[in-house]
Amino acid sequence: MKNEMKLIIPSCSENERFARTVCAAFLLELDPTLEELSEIKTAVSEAVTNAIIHGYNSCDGQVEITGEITDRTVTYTIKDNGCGIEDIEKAREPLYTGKPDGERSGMGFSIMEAFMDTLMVESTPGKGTAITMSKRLSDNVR
Amino acid sequence: MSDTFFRSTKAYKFHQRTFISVRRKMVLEALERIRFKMEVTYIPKHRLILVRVTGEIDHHSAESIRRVTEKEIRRTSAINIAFDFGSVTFMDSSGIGMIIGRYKTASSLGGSVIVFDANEQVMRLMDMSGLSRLVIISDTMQKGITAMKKLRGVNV
Ligand SMILES: Nc1ncnc2c1ncn2[C@@H]1O[C@H](COP(=O)(O)OP(=O)(O)OP(=O)(O)O)[C@@H](O)[C@H]1O
Ligand SMILES: [Mg+2]
Repeated sequence: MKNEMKLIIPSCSENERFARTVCAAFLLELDPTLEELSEIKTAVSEAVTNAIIHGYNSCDGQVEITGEITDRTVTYTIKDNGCGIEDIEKAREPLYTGKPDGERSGMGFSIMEAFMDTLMVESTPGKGTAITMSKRLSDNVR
Repeated sequence: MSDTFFRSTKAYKFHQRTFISVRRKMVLEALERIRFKMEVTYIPKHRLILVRVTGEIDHHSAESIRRVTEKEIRRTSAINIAFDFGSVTFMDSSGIGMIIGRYKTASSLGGSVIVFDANEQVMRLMDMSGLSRLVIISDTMQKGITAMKKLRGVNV
């Protein structure tokens, strides 16, 4: 099984639901369990939300989302051309947030790590951020 | 009866219209399950506002919950907030941040936050973030209120 998709959306918070719903729908042909589906939907939501609020913090940017299926492994990349991350290691620490007065819990990266098998963060300050995450779905026994 | 004949009749038009409206109704019903909605009720007896949330809680909808809840807290003399998550179908870390924010508001007034009837996905996220150390998590509102009373000696 092999498939690909690409989605480009303006960086408005209204689009968060649309983006994660598309990413979940992309996966349906692999017949995921409900748990896998909700884990992936949550991880994608974290990455897209980060691009929108930390990368841009306005509707002027674009978020590019690609999905790829190879056998039973699904890989998503979420890319923005926003402000970038100065210290990636620190950003990935649980409970760290760059917006302490913005009602953020600093759980986003921890959730992505817990719900996906791999998580790669590439970022250049002033240029933008790309998150690549993948998960191998369980073999469904029917 | 030939198809062309059927098409030209009023009956067909009627049939088509009902068909479309039934389909549209089904689509609307499906959307309704994920569309975000909230309903706030003030319960003076417990100095509590009950916030019933429907749909998905993300950065976008969490912002509405924050705004509406803060407004109601200021408008009434409530100090406690109970979230009915029975119809919440999805939540991400923005929901966690929103609940922590309401915890700060309620505890500054000497009150508590209750979250009840959350589904498995939401429970898992709340467990991961250790939210149960700050707010009361229960399966029904009644149990939440009992826990709240216990927390503060019976008179709330
Ligand atoms: N796409 C991005 N562009 C710029 N900075 C980012 C991006 N993604 C994450 N960051 C930085 O990394 C920090 C940690 O991200 P994380 O998602 O873990 O927490 P948060 O978004 O602050 O809070 P939460 O996700 O719990 O609402 C952010 O506060 C931000 O400073
Ligand atoms: Mg985040």
